[in-house]
Amino acid sequence: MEDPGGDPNRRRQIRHEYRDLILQLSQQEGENAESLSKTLATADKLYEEVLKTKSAREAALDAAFLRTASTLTYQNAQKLIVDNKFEPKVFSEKLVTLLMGRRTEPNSRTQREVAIKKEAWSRFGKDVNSCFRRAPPFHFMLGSFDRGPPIKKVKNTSIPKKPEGQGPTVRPNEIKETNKSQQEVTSEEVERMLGILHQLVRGDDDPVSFFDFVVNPQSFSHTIENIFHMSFLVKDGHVKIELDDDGLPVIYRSKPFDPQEHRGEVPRKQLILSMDMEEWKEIVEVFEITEPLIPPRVTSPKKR
Amino acid sequence: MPRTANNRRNVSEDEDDEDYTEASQSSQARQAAANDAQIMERKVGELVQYFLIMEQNKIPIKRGDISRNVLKDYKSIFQEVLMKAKESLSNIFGFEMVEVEHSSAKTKTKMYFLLNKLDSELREDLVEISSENPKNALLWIVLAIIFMNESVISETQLWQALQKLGLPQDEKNHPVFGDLKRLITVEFPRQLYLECTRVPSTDPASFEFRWGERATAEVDKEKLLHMVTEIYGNNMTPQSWRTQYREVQLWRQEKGLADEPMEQDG
Amino acid sequence: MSKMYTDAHRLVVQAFLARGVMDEKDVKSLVHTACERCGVPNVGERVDNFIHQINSQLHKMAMEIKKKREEEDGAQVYALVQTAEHQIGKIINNYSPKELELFKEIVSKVITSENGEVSSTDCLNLADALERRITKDEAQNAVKKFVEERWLRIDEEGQISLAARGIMELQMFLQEKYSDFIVTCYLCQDIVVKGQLCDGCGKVKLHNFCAQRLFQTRPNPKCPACEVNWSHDIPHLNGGPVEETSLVTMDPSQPSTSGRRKRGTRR
Repeated sequence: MEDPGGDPNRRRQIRHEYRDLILQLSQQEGENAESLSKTLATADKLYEEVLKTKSAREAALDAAFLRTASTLTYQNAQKLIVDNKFEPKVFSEKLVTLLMGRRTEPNSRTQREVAIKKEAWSRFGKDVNSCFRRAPPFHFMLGSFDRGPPIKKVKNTSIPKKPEGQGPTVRPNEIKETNKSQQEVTSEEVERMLGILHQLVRGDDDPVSFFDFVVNPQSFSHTIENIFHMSFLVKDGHVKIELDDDGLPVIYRSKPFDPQEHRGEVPRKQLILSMDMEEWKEIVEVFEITEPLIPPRVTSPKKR
Repeated sequence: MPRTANNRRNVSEDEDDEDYTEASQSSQARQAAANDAQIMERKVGELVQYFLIMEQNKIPIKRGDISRNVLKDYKSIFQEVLMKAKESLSNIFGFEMVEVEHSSAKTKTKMYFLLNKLDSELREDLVEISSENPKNALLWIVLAIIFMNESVISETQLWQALQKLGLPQDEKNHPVFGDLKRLITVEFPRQLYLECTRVPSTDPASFEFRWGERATAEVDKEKLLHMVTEIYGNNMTPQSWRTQYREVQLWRQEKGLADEPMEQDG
Repeated sequence: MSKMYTDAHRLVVQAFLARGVMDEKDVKSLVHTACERCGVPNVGERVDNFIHQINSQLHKMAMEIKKKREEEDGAQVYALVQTAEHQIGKIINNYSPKELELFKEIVSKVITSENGEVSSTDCLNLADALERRITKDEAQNAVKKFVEERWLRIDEEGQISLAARGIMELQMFLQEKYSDFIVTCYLCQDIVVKGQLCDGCGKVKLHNFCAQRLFQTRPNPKCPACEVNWSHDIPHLNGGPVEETSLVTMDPSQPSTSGRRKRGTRR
């Protein structure tokens, strides 16, 4: 136990003062609120000094003083309840009133009725933040997962220009294709086709030559695919096919059928279109199609 | 580096690194490491980041964690790196790095965590992580209950009080807090906010809760008592709670606040 | 430590730690409030200068406050990012390993996609393709978190792209792992993931806001390299011409342009 600091004379005086205070308290019954308040304040000041000196003797006297003060019963509605005994349950009750924002009889609340909302917890948490000296942490992404190997793409034709020859120019590359179902690929392509059509036309009255649109002069298979995808668009009403004045098929953008408008069955027509490779070549020649309006889907992405 | 038995790291215990590191690394290596300013700077940077990142879940860092995860081959310069990291944390971020010696049933371990040096008034509304607010609210309430109950409370009494807030002990799927029991008896103690000790010679085992080292370091007792009195209302003041008020005075003394004026009553 | 580095700087760093990323106006107000509270003379418009002072300290910690425009709408944001890939990064994170794997795959898809975006349906479908399988629900929650913390962006059509914060932090990683796919904007030379690509040459790519800046006054916009008509819509972001600002670094060796900031645009 370390030696207490401070001036021994002063310390003796402090002890003397404490004893005086204790005497004062025990001698006066019915002491009024004001003088008790003064007494307590005096003791508080003494204690501040005691803390600095860290002396056990004086601290013990302070404890004795407190005991004396607290055995006296002073009722005072204002500040002078001498020693409050803390009751956890009472504290909880007070908190519930605060957090639920309404006054109900404490005893009437059962556990089931107490359901403090998240917002109330949140707000209270915000209020008590000032009691904590917390340090905010650092959040990041870089380095939180393994890089993996560098991803290369196979150099292939960027935007298709002059074809080297017939046949597909697209090669699969190293990127692991996620296991896309054929269905998903189809619907993606259909959407993409629609998007391209929308870019080409200025309105619902602006026709586009069917062949110009679907034919890919470099790829027969892609042409067939395009026709296949086109059929979806027609089925869903995004696209109309008609014959123009020259008897050639043209397509219009349209709005899908509104079920409200067509009460009852929507008339369905079926059209079968066939095209073999010879016909395809002919069309490319006759219509002078040099570039596909629909760039082919590539499994390796185009160079951007 | 020669492998010694001490190389085996057990996550649950911590060992005193000093014997191990200084003996097994040659003085040459140590010299080289200390002189290499670049390595020093890098390790300091990594340690600082380590502290900042580990504050995410508020679990204090053990000395062994630092050796293993940050210093690795440079364990010999531990003290220096730690010192410099502490400086950087303070100068650049305004954080205090606190070291505590935590005693559990078997061992005493050195642990580290961060505190904020900037006053809460400065930080108000600017440095806030609102997603943490509900949990902070609950933590505050538990800490307040313990403090007001003169620094210790039995587990039974604590749950009785929490029950009244709609937080029963057996609730595993509370919409806001999830597994309540785990939060109070595992998570908060692990973060060193609470200390849960077994009361000796009780059968069946009963437990008590006190403030943990982090709470003692992090919480402003004066503000806490002030808020408690506000919650009580009834024109009470902090002085209405004599014992607790004394505790606040003591706390102020320890923090060197004794010469500053105390908070006025609202 | 220089006397220039004050509690106000520390307060701002702490705010960035707490929030990660902030819009320009919030950063301005943060800096001003911090200076006020700490009794530091107000920096006025020289916010970037203030940030640069912080960065000169953060540099050694492999952290930096960077500034970038969101690709979607050109809004300027600041983010506190990691600049080195530490081993520590894998030790702890507020995301689970499964979530991080999902994130990695989403980034991969976005970068290798044609338009720098991926539908949310596709992202959710990734859940099955992962090594550590997760449910669609978990995937959805994870994506939601990524968007909330502004690593990713989602638009009205459910298309997911990399947000400015994501690009800023992952830039080095992207440039090294996906070097074949990473393109820089013809105008500002900064990395561009989602933008407008010339249909003619396929070589010139512009951020939306850079396209606006380049073409805003021209009736017939043409590709600056191949002269083909620019087929994309010229956006009108922020309701007007894009202001001239320093888009990239706050490096002291480059003259600070923040002082020269003129007609600010109201958002």
